Amino acid sequence: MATEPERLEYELAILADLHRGSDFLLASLSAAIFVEDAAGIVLSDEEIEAGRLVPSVMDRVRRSRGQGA
Amino acid sequence: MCGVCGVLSFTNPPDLSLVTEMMRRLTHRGPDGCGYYRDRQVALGHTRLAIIDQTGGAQPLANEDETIWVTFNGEIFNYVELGAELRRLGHTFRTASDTEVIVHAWEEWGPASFERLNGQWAIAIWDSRSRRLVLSRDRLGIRPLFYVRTADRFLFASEIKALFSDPSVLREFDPVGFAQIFTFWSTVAPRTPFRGVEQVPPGHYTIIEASGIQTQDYWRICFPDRGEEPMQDLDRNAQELREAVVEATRLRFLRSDVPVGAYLSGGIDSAVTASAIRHYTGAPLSTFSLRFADRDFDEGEYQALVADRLGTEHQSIEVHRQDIASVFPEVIWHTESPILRTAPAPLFHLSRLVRRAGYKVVVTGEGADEVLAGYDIYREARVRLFWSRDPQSAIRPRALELLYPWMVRSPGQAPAFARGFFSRNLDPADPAVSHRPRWNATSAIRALCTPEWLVGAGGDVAGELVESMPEESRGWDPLARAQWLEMTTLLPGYILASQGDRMLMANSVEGRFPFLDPNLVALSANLAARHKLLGLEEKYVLKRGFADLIPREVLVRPKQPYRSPDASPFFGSDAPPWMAEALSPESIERTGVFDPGRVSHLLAKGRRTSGEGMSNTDNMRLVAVVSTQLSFQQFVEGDGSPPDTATTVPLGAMTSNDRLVSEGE
Repeated sequence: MATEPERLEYELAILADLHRGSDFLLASLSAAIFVEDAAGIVLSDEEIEAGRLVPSVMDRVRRSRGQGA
Repeated sequence: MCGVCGVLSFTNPPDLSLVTEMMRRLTHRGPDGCGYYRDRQVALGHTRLAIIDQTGGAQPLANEDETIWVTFNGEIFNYVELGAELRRLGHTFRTASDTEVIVHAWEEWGPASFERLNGQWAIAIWDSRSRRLVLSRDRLGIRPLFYVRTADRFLFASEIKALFSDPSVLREFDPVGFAQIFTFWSTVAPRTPFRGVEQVPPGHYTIIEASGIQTQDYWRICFPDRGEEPMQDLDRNAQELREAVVEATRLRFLRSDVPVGAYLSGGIDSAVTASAIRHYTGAPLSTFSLRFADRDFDEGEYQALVADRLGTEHQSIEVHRQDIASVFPEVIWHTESPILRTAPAPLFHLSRLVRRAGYKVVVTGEGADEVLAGYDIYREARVRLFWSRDPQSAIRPRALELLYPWMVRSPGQAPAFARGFFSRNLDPADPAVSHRPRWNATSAIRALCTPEWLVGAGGDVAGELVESMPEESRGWDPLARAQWLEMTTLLPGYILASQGDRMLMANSVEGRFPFLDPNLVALSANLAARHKLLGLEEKYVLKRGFADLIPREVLVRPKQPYRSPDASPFFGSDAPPWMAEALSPESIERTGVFDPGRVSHLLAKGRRTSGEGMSNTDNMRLVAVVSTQLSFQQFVEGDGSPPDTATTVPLGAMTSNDRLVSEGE
């Protein structure tokens, strides 16, 4: 049984795949919308601009779910 | 699918000529026959489109001892299972129809019957034991059911025009109903565009007896709290959704004694239902599509891809601008309401194609956008909420550029305008934050109204709707709240009515809607909200569930909402001859809704450009004015009789069960 952060990571990877080849910033925005909505966190502009699967963001998702980094 | 009507009289026995005239106005809904039941208090009428038990299913129909009578429009798809259960409980059936299940179910379970039905219905039950008339409507409002009360009687019917057969019924516009249309695109049940005429709200039943009228819900749209959705595994959800869609589609394709076809729009939803039919029933399938001569609106390329992949017997009809204008008066006679888009008119042509091809039932994809989050309005809300979390962010508003790629002035092409437009009323605590931009944009129609009309239109219709949201919706995901608003306003009031039931029944064709199956709706409500709208990818879980059956080009294409040319059909060399009279300053003045000067200004704009390139607001205003004027001509100045241009259908062979005649009165 996958944990919630694992599920979100899996779904985020699917989303990144859907945006493959599209404008990088727009793809990053789409990923940020997903992460914020699903994990209930707020990203900084820098985190959004940095891209889709930056480790620090996923660490925050895990922490927000009390599972540590 | 059929037409129902009836009269409950509080004084004299019901007048047979009135019920006959009511039936006559519903013959397009049921050309295959008609029938009535009458006793001292009630008369029930029925015009029949024979689909199940063609020989034995004539209506009105009674239980074993003829104490309970029913007139019914719709289909009960689980009638086989319910019939078996009722037989085990000792009920004797005389027919093989789904209608008969209703009377025995009422006898057995009373109002608890309705939650057991899987179907689409407008039902009237006369229970002579308790002297109660009961009206019931399906959960999401697929089938219409209107009523009106006069000094000495209560009348009900599938369409308002049948109620207007009674000259004592007031025929007057309701300014509050119009305020709702000029905000939500439709009235909100029980209200209608006509004063005193009401409709049974979806998911409700109404009991009428001498002591009064009572309306009660038997079902409500509901969602789990945000984060508490029980279905969190994406791949399992996609699989379970697929199974539910297949089952709902099979049920709607197979439970019929006449051949069933399917619409193909070129989008995902109808591709899914047609695929489910082809792959899970093995039956041959006829599909029907709408093409537009105007390529901006045409989806023929995608329709052909799906039809070819599925190997269907495919037919399409190409609609030109003049085809929209030419049928518009007849379309409004069927919608019985002002509309803000011409989109129903091409669907009128499509159902005519179906009927001429020898079909009277089609499976269609409506409902998926509401149940599984397919509309741009859901994406828009998610972007606005994202922006609201850091309003000073330089890059968050750029997410608006992901919206409405199909629009002429899309946010990507006009970002400054988009930022101004979408930042208005951006309050994340507002339960209707998703819908404020659309409601505000639509309300611009009211700028054309006379001051007197606006006074009569009352207060804040949007505020009243928000007040009526269920208490528990505060805990729902914002997407679920947006879905509730959509399923309460646009779905029953416009999509299923003006574009759905009315355009199908205009040509005696029944639509069946797998995505509105109650089991599928319940399952969809329990899916994690992020799976329905994955980031900004609409209906993602549906696409994932059917990825192996749908052509990839259809799966990945940007969503294109169904639209048709709005203002342009009414201008230029092809302008219809009735326009001059319907929109003359004198006619506008007589109707009393719009200011003649402001309408003249709008028309001048349209003439200058032949209706091309008008703004979204002006397109909406123009269609609102034209349809309001036609509604006034037909239903306020006129008595609801069909316009001269309409095709009329004669009353079918009549069956009767007249207690007054049999008692020698």
